[in-house]
Amino acid sequence: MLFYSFFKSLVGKDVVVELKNDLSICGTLHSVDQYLNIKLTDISVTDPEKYPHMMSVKNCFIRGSVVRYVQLPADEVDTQLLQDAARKEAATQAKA
Amino acid sequence: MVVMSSYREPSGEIRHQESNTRAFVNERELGSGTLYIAESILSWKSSTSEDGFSLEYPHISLHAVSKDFSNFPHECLYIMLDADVDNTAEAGDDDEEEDNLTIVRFVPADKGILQQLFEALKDCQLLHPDPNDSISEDDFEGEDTLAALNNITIQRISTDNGNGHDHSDDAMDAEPGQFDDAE
Repeated sequence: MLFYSFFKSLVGKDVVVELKNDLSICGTLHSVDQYLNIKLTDISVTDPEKYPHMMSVKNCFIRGSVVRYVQLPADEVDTQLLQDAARKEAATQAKA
Repeated sequence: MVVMSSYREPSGEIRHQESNTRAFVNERELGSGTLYIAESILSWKSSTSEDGFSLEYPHISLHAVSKDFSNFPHECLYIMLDADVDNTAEAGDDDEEEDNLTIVRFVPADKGILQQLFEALKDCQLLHPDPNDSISEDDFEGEDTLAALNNITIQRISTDNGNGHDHSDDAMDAEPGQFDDAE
């Protein structure tokens, strides 16, 4: 739930999603769900070599299980806070 | 791993059925037929031949409505699969240069239906979560995680009793000194 809530707080921000098949897609985070499926709008080119043939796609829905990384704008994330939250969650899971 | 199988009759509820839909696999046209977006499986059956295929949702990496004519001359439902169906043989060095993916495009006669196809596919994707994901372990016992992040901020500036235990966590109902080390 932590990262679901975390991504929800980033809706509207521009992100780059790198898939497990090495393709990278840049777009605006429109929505995310509990499985971390990602819906992006206004897709654009990031790396031409890794770019899939889907220019001017308005919306795209990415299955959460194929996402390798989500690149985030550094100034939108409080990494210290996120680290603390992750540690707290790990401690909660250990007790359960 | 079977990413694209031969046509299987869709069972269960069909979220969307669209006839007069052309199918393209990696730019190769298979003809016109009927697309079934069912809760169990996505299937396409040609109306002119015995051709057909089915796709399983866990292997659909990404889908979108594509309207870029510079790459493909029709508005279509664009689907990316997580393996290359045309290159199933492990060819060693060749694999590193080939994309490990398949692009399937569906071109309905009714272009206005594309958004509904997108939504139907998205809804069916939600019914097939990755079995490796362990969502239930992340339960914060109902506590909103963003509120939990706020709690951490509060804990940083609150004073504790010197043992590292602060008493701002109401859910715990801990008595003062309950968790102190034994004397």
